[in-house]
Amino acid sequence: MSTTRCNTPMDSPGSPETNPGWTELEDSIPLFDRVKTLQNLAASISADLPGGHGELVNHFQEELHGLSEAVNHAFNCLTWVISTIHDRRSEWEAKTEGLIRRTEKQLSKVTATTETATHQILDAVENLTSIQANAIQKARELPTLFDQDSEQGSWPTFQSALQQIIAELENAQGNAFQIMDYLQFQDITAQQIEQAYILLGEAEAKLILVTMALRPVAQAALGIRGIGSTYDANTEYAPTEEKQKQIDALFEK
Amino acid sequence: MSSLRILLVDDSPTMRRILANSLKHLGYDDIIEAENGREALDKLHAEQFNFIVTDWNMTEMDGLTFVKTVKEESDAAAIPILMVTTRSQQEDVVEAMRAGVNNYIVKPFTPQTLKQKIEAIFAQK
Repeated sequence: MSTTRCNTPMDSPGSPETNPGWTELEDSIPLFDRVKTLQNLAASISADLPGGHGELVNHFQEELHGLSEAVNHAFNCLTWVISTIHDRRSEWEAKTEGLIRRTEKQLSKVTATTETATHQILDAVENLTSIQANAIQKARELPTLFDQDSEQGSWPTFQSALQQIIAELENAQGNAFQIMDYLQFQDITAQQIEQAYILLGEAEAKLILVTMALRPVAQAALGIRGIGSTYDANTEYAPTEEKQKQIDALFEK
Repeated sequence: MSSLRILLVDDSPTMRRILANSLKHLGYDDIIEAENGREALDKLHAEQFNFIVTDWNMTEMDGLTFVKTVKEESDAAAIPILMVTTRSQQEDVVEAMRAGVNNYIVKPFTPQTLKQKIEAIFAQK
């Protein structure tokens, strides 16, 4: 059997499972054995015939040999094409499955981050609303308290109520700043989305690589470098006290 | 009100707004913003600053390169730098320290942490 390597470019041949033509091609492989049989038969006939008549049979035998080489080459091509497609498909499945799972995980992080931050912000807004309602109520009572205290010539109740209102307002300010802290989730999700985008780009490129005819497009797709910003692949929206303590310890050394 | 002139560098407009608001709440009103290291360097060359707060992950020029560049410039090398970033891996923190940052905060942060780190930086001065 010839060892000629088949380097014929493929024009999106599909896979053995999806292209009905493959079964037909695979069925034709025994043709090689049949040519071999014919060659052996011609050799036997040539040996049995007397001198001059054998030339025609010899020529026939050479033609058969050429046909055998051609069939052999076609067989090699076929084997190469089938194994290449199988390899590419397995490789792509292995790589893209990981990429798709990582992308899915990344997008889940975005959802979880948004969910957590939204709840935190809503809690802070509810707190703020409650504080404001208390402060308004106390402010409405101030004129009455002022009048009551005026009879004594000093304003202890009024002053106490005023202090409470100031305390409520300070509390409200704290809540407003807390909302601002929670809004940092946007910076975290932006980076999480950026990583999901990169992973999708890689999956797309590998998918394109499977179809050899689109190799240049795939190579171009492999050049994807994100939507313009850099990102931290490990970023997460979670309490940072422990991390910050570890960082502080490094700076204290 | 503090007389510090602060250069605030972050590519996220939301983060710049949060940081600027937090700094103002702490009494630092003189804040100039830049969205990446390159823009920050331009501003640093054009104006005087006493303090830099910078993110790490940015386009054009990231925070680490920016810090290294600042530390190589004789006029700006002495300006204290606080890095505020999502990066919390130990090797990242060590790399930032080697680059010359004076302190490091991991996002999301609280105004208390920001206050403590700024005070710590200026207590060393």
